[in-house]
Amino acid sequence: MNKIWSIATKDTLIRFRDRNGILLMLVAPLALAAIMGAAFGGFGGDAPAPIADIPIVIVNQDRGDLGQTLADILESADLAELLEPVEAKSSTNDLVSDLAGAKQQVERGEMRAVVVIPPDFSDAVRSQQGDATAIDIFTDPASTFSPIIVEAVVSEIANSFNAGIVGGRVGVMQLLEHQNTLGPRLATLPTVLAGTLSDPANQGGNRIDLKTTLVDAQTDRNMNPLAYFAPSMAILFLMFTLFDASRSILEEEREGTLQRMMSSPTRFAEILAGKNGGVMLTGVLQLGILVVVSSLLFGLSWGGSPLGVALMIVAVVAAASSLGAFIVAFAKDARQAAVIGSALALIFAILGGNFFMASALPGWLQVLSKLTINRWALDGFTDLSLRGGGLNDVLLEIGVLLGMSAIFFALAVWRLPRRFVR
Amino acid sequence: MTMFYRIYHIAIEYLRTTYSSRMVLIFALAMPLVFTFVLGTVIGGYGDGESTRWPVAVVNEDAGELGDMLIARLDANPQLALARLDREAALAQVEQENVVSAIVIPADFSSTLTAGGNPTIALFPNAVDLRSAQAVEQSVCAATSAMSGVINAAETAVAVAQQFDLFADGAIDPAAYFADAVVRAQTLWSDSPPLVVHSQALTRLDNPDQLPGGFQQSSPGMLVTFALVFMLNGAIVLIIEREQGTLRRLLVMPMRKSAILTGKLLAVFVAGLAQAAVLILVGQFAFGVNWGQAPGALALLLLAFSFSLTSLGMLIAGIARTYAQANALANILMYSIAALGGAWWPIEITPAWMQRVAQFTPTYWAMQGFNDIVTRGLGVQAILPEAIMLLVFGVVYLSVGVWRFRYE
Repeated sequence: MNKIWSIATKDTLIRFRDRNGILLMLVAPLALAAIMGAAFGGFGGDAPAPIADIPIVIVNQDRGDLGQTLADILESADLAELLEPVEAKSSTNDLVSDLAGAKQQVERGEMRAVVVIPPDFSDAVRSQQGDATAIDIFTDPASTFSPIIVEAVVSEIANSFNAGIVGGRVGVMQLLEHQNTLGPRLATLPTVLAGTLSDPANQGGNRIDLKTTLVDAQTDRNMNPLAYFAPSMAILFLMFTLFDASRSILEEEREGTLQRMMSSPTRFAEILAGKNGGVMLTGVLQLGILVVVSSLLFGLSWGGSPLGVALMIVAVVAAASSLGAFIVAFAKDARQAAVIGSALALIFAILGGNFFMASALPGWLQVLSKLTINRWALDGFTDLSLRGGGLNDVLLEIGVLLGMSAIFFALAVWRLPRRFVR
Repeated sequence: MTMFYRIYHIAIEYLRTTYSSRMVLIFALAMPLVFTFVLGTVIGGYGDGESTRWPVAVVNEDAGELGDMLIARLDANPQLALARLDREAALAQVEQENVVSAIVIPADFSSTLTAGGNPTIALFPNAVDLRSAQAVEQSVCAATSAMSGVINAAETAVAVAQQFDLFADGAIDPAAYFADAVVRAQTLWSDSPPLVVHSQALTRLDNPDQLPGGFQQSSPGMLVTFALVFMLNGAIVLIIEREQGTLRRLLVMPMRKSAILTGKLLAVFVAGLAQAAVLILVGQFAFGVNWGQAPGALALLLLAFSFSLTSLGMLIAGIARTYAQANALANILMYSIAALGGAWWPIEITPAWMQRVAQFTPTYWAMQGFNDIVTRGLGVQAILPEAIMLLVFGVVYLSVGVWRFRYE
């Protein structure tokens, strides 16, 4: 037992004394989690800022005054958080080149959309007749969300204008059917109509309120995106580390130190146990440090169940180190083991949802996803951190991970002695 | 002439030793294609991944008719895929993260609205995907504003009638008059709306409808990511050669140091181009990405891109003391700048400050350039600024890298 322990601690110490190793084990996952967390909405811990400050250009070609009114609404304080509008101002008053320039800004990726207020905009709003007048929006095809949001916002504003126009037309239409009763009084209709339309009491705006609430099951949720990406990156780089560490026995074989150990009065089983113990110890320390540092550095909560987190760490490390041993047991040589290890780590990460929300995977990919250690590990950690679950909520994940671990471990143990006995 | 021959010889030798392994091909080609496929499917949308249609559960508890009218408006929005459910089922769908949002139209929706009040629609976003939920919320607002508009228009009509004392003698029922106005406003609004909003993607591609959902992001994105992996790892092999002494052996041969480095970097550069070519061909023919629409622009951009990454590899090889250090540096750097530059997600979703930071990475300019070609349908002129930025990055990296590099 003493020998196993000393092999394990020696290996672990070597890894944590290696400055470059630390970079990959600890700095890389933290740096990447920080980037992903920031990309998806910051370190706040409150609800992440969704899409904001969408840069748009307004090209106002209107000959009347209402076009400016529309532009002002887009630039109003209500929309300040959502939009970052710029009005195309031309020195030449050349409307055509304004539009061309604005489109170019979108094509250069500087702006997400151009909103074009047409020349007859004011006329269209004021006149009681006429065909549809179009407000054109040209959007950036490389963007997904901004075009839809800009279109919806402009539609909402257009609808408030439409309400006035349609109200006027319907009002006139209906009154004309009562011509007989009203007689010559109808001559004042245009004045009355104008008065009614300009009365603020009749400019209802959007009358339907929206109340956004999280469903009960999600109210306890940690809205910090880091609660998703910190465990994701920790798992990915844990795999890299542990596969690398498992491989050290092959390096020792190549360098001859394994043979030397085997010729000493140490049983092969003890060497294997010590080596694997070292891998597990490394993994537990790595994940443990990542949990502590990420909570200190980013103020990230890993959930209310320290025991749950601790057991998850042990289960994930057990599964990953067993898979590492399995790869070593069946690979031709250290080089092949390295390639298979890195490839598996990456494939597991993409399928396991370490780079995006796993729930976005379509059905059949979900099945593949559930075959990876990463998915179960991530589900467990996020049950605790994101969904506010307790130990009971992660028992399934812990069980599955330990089960995976048992299978890989059994196969590795069966194969490893045969591998090294030449 | 002999110098060119030597450079060529060194390049071939470096390609043979560094890139010949079949294992390398797994990382250079197979891995990026798997990533392109999975990420493209995920970005492309929910469920079947056909298009960006957001699944939304809608619950109509309204006793009147206006609720259905609103649902019809929502249904007309091609971005939303509605499923009509009862409240319990809808909320369960949100909990299970199967829909982006649940929309609940209250029982008093019609009555409150017609009585001049403000009804409240409850929206339950899926906390896992707040960005999509935000887009859905905006689309709901657009639909409700049209609904409100109809009611407001009808109220305007009644207000005008009141000015003429039409209801004073009781012969005409104001409620019936209002209901009539609603129907007329609704008809007018849908048959010939005075103002309409036309939105179109600003692309010069011939078939803008066929912009592939997720692959137009994931194909260039994974090309950039795995080019980094491939080329940085290729360049830092220089340090292994230094550590093993093979560089020193080359130095005793009658040729200039610059020729040795040129040959080796040329190999990395060419290998990178070859990798990109394969990924682009598969992207074009298997994933339907419009890579081929501007071959000249694409070639120019690829040359600049490959040069900048080769130089970045040289920079790392130049400043790292050991291979282990170079490997750690390269790993952190490649994933970080790929993510920052917008290779992993559309850059639009990141906060404004991050988009500014991104401009200091070559990956940002590469993604911009690739987007110009595959989504915006532009040509050589459009990608010139990006190509120049990549060249500038490349020259800076290369100079520092060569300056700092120690041969032994």
